[in-house]
Amino acid sequence: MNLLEVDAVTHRYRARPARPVLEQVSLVVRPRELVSLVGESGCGKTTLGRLVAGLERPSSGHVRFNGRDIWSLRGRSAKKWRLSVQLVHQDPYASLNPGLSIGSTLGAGLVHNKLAQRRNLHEHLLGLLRQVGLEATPEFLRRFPHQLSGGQRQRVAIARAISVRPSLLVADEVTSMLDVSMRVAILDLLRSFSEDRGVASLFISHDLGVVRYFSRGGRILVMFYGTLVEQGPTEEVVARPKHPYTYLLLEAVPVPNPTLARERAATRPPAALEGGPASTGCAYSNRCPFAEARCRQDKPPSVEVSPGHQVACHFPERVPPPSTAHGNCQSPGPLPTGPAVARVGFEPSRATEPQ
Amino acid sequence: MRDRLYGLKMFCKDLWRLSKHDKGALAGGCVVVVYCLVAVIGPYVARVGGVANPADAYLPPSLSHPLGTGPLGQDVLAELVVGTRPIMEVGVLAAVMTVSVGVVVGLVSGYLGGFADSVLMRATDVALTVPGLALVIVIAGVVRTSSPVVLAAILSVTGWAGLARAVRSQALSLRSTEFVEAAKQQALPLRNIVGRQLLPNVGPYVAIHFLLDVTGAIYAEVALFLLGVAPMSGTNWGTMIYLAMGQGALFTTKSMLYLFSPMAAIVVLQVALVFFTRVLDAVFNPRLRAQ
Amino acid sequence: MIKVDNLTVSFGPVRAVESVSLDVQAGDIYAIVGESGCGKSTLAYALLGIVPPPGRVTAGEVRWKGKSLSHMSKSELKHMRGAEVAMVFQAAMNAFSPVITIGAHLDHALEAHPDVFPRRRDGQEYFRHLLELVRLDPERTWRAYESQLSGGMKQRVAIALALALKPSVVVLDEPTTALDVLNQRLVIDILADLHSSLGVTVIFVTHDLALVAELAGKVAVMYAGRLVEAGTVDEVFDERGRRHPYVSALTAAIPSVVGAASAVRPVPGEVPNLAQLPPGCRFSPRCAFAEDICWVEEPDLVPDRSGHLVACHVANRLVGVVSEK
Repeated sequence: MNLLEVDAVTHRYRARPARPVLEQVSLVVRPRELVSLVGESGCGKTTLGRLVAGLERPSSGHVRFNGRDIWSLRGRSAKKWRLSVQLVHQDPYASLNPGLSIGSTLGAGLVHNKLAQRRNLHEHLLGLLRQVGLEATPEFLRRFPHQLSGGQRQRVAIARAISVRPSLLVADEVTSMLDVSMRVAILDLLRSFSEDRGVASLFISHDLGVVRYFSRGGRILVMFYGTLVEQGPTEEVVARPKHPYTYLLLEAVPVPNPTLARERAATRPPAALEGGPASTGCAYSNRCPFAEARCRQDKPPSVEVSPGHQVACHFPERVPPPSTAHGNCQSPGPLPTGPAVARVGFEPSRATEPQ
Repeated sequence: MRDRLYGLKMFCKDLWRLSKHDKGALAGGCVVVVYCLVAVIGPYVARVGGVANPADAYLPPSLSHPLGTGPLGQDVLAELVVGTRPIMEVGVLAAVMTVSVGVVVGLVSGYLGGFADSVLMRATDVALTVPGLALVIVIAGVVRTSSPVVLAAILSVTGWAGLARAVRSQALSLRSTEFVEAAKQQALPLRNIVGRQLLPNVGPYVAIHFLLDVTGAIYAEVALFLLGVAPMSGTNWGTMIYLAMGQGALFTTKSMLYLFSPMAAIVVLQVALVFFTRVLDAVFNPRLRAQ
Repeated sequence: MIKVDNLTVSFGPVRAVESVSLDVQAGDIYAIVGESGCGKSTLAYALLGIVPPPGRVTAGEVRWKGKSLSHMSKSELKHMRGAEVAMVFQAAMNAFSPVITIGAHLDHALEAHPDVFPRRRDGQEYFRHLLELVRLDPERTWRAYESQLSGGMKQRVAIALALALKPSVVVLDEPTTALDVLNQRLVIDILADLHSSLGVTVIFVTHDLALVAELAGKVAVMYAGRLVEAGTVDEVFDERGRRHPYVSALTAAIPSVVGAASAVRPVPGEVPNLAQLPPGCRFSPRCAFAEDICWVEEPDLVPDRSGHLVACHVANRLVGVVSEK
């Protein structure tokens, strides 16, 4: 049975009922699986994460955990579910109560859920610190959040999340506010939970590099303004993307290699880097360099281009191999010259779209 | 348990350290402590009552009467000292009641929202619109009591409303913070969320409000005594002024000391309390506490 | 244009920047790279002479076009900051006042430096041109309030505002942190465009090596307050050339869409506490190549023929470059 099922969820904010933040989104996470959700800021991925964690209720559709709709649970099963799914926030500076010591923050969940007795609470807390790679000393437990670095705070937040023994972790941009050199350690830590404790993870990020590292062996879901446009095994999607948006993301992401950077600059696709979704047809049609009339009228169906690899696009075959595949500096092949290709460079954006 | 004591010890240490930097706050704190001491031991040290001797009325200051005498020949200083306890008792009690009600109403209302919020806020609105002091005077006049607790309760009948409003807005902004969300995710009970997550974050505001409430309660209390609405038995600063007015103190300059002494006592206490609040803001902010 | 000569900036006993020398020529795109706490932001502030107290310059100097900042008068400094050297601060998107329009922000800047655009209207027109260069709708943006713009847009407005007074140098502190990937790409492209079309010298401070690879021409790498490597971007990223181990470790610690995902390794250990520095080379506790001399003696920056500087005993020895000692 699937651990998590998101079933045709559509979600709107009361403040802006006209445009849904999520539209008919469906996805599945299996036990112990590593799944990444990637997309630009404002695309709804954080909202989806919050719906999965039960922090908000979807306007329509269902979120099911172990087969049961989470909003239909009551009493003991509701409490059990509540501890089974934990969300770790993006901002390590806001996710810890500034007025409570680390020990208090970490201990609260353990004590109230009877996961540790008072007499061995201290030991348990030290063990928790050890598991997330922090210094396991009583002195550390007495510190306050403002005395810790961003990376340390994030580890504390992760410790808090795993202390209640969840089966699913939702990590919302947990590395975005950390130094680049710190990210790998946090990602390794989260990955280790899958192996050691059988915890599945839904990792949300805008950074394809981070996502590729995190969910290798798992799956990637690509989201564009409320719709899942591509999903499949990580390496497959990164090496052979079949949606123009995924292709754009791969071509646009900065890489730490100056030679490659220069070559890519010459062959980057003329796709718009910003702008909200189109209101009719395919949501991406207003920014897509391969778009045609059909794209603007009909919503594309989801097609399976290879086992486990699905794409919502009318013309997935048009997407060339990205220049980043296998780290080679290969040029991406001839660019499309259909009538819909915009002028090279930038498309006028719909400026002043609030995030 | 050890953690709580440790926390208290650190709190006092930080309070002391921060006070040292702020002379005004330190002075204020010392004065408040002196007043508290006087309130506690005063009645055992000074003696009032005894036979009234109008012949000794309004004597100038001397060794046996450092602040002179009152209209009935009693020692002003003794009266001042003895009169401290009733005033402060009621003042502190009233502030405790005001703050307790205000904080609970504010936190529950702000965090839970919905129906509870509407009901509590309507009650708060009423308490805010009714003229507080007038209501207090009327109630005091009707309920003639000599119990300090009841008097304190009367004094706080509308005072909690302003605090409730402010605490509610704090609770509203806090409930959507990420650490409160994290607490919810850990299935922490309501009392923990309100008590451990929300309360420490409204702490500074509440503490300062508490001290200012004490000053407000004292003023209101003295007003009651001055107007003769509160019980006239016993000696306190309010009755001193009341007596003085009644005994024609306004018509002679010799009574100046008698009239001004209780007033000065009140004013000095109020100022000290206000000065002391300066350091409270800093001590409640963990960022400023460590190193 | 800007020459930093043996600069040391101290915060009490702690030296956030120690004996740093670098040379920014006109037209460079210069990157200063390092992790949090390495002193790079402090260095950036020192370039404009705005190190916040209690920090002070305790040794060395910064020279703007040959003239030392400490010898400049208040009015000269005021003119320099904004009109000649502009700065875009970290999280610039948070630096907007929510109660005035973007246009009003520009007006304030123009008022502060009336000599740049004697006629207000010229300044406003130039700003509109800049808004186009940063790929925003000039009219809409001019009238907008900060809450109506996304984080990425605000970052670009901040860049436009910095350039509004026609400075010859613009310093950016972490220009792409807090932006998503596509916005990062936009900012990189825009900065490259601005550099080529306006001829402005760009100095930026970051911890993101990918940003450096994409944008910079010259790179200076800082670690724990000291400069450990400086050279062109190709030299610094050349895996087979002479490199500081910190730079190699840092590059290997970046998860990316290129290269083998399994080859990524975190940098072991932690950034040292500047108040308790290890003796010898500051990076030695985390260095895979540390030898005995590294624990004892702090390495000097040694140039090779093309001017590429590396401060590492092992790297310099292996390639046969010897320091003049």
